[in-house]
Amino acid sequence: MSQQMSHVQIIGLKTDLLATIRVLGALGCVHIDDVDAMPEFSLSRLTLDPAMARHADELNLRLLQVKGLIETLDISEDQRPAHANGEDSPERVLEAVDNLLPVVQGLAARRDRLVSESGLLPRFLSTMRKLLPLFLSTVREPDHVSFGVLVNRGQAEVLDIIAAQVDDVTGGRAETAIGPLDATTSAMLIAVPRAAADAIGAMLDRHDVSRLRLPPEFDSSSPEAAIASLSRRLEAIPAEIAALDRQLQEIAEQWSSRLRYCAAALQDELETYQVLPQLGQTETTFVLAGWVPARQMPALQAALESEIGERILVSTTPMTEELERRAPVALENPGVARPFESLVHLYSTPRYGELDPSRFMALFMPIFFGMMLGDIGYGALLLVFTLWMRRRFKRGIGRDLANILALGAGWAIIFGLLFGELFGTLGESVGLRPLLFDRADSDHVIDLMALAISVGAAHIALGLLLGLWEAIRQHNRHALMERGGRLVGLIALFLLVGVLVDLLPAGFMTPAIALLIVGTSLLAWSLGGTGVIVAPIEMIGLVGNVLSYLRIAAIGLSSVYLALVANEMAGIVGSVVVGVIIAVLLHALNLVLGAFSPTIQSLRLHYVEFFRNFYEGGGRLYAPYRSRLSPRE
Amino acid sequence: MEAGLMAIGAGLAIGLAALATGFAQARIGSAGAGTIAEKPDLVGVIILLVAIPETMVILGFATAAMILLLGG
Repeated sequence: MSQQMSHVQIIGLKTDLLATIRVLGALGCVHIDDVDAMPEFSLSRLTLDPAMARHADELNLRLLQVKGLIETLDISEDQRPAHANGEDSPERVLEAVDNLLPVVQGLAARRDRLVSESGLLPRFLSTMRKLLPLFLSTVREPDHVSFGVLVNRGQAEVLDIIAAQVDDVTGGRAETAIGPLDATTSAMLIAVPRAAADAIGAMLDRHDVSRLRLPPEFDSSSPEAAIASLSRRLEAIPAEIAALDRQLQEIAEQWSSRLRYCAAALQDELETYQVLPQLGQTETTFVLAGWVPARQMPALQAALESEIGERILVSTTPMTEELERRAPVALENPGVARPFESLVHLYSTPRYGELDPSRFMALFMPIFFGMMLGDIGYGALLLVFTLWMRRRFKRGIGRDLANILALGAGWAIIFGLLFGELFGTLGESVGLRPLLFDRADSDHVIDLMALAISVGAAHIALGLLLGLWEAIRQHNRHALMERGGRLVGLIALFLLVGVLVDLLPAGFMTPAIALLIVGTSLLAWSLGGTGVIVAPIEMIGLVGNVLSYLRIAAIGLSSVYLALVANEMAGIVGSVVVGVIIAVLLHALNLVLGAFSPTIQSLRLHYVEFFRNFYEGGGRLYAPYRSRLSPRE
Repeated sequence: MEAGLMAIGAGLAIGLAALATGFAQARIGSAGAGTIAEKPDLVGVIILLVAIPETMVILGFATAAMILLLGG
């Protein structure tokens, strides 16, 4: 069911514009339409004056700063509206943010440097330990500078060339040592007088070799002491990082709600400016057109009157066909069906006034799911999982999925009792007997398929009846003929099959054929010129749609046989422990498949076989302009 | 002999149908992945399109079941 909507027009003075938008944001019930949707008024689009545009840019910059702080402090997103602590206003929080920003940036930069150092130091130390035998005494002299060079073993002759050039440049006052570093790398250490350091550095750059930058410790103490000093440094880094993390964590705890509030308030104000171009304007007034649920209209009028007074005009426009085509849709369903609204929106949002299929999905989708999974053990485990999901996800698509799976798990337990399945055939060992029939028994495969086809035929027939109802409501004769023809054809096909399998007396054959001809004729008439050729093909397509429900039987059987294999394999292996592990793994796999595949297939049956008979969709979702802030506590 | 031929027939019925389904879904799935990358809102429609060819393997299963259960 969708809520009844009213088309509202709000006309006020430009001086009251921002106050009006704030009232609408606080109420959160008006879906604002673009000014182009009001062709009956010749209005120009509202534009931001230079002062507003500058203010919007400033807000954007401040928002980026606050969001940057939130990200640096690793403050998690919270879907609930933010609220202020005590007497905080966004302006006061922003003043404090100006002082906080350099502190947090400094801490974060120090942390980043330490993390980078802790990544580089181990590799560096490992290289230096391998170079230890090459270290020269001249490396430690204060007036000497050291260079390290690494090359591939295959290019080791480059090192000899470099050594010769170093000798030339320093006039023989340098020392070099060459040695293998590992299987693929050769290393070279060079100690040169400080005066020649720049020339040697430039020469090495020209040779395009890997340079090893030696730290200052290697110039002032022995290599062993320098390596020990760097090792101590490496051990101390985690403690320093932990201390910085604690500081950042304390700041995050202290500032979390204030920063989220500030970000929400800034975003609110920015969105106020983003909404303005959707409005129309005259020289002194603004014009806002939108949609509000009819029952919230009095609250809207009262709020605007209280805040703005008599300077604002709020009126509703009588609904016309054109307005109905543009109206957004706010679905309203009881709690059980509400999670299925997101599945309907996934296919297509209903048009205003169109039948909402959510309740029918809420009834049939869990039944199909249960028929396919049909196991007490899997259903119980899935139910436990959905309870965990409900605790983990308080709102959104995760919560909806948990509720949908919970319903499906319940029906899986019911069908598990009907089919006598507990983790496949394990139930037999505890005396569990099927109340209907055993799916795993090959004698009952035909019964299972017949059950699936019967459910499918009933589902499609319901879809066609709903389609007929919609066609009558909309006075659409074309749709009435098409859907009526399909329904009559479906009944005829089942009478025919009933006669052919001796379920019905032979006397039903003639009425069945007559009904088939009537149904095909109605369908052909609704399809127009090519209907004579297309209608019989459509009737065959209808058979295909019914047979599509055989997937309920097929997926159910695959689940049963996989569970059977899990139990049999556990028995074949000699050891009880190994057998249990194998059984648990295979049953876990079957459970995952059993949760995923029936969901997708049930969804597909609804989207393709059910919806096509009565549902068009193509509507707009009701998305009211709403403040991110909750009312102050 | 007859039972063996029936088993082969049933295997071919479902096997070939499954191959056809897999071939169709592979092409739809890869096109769908590209579509979702550009327009994530279409994920529902893509799931639907990928699931549609499964009717072929379902009918293959029905044929195989009929051969095995009703044949002979």
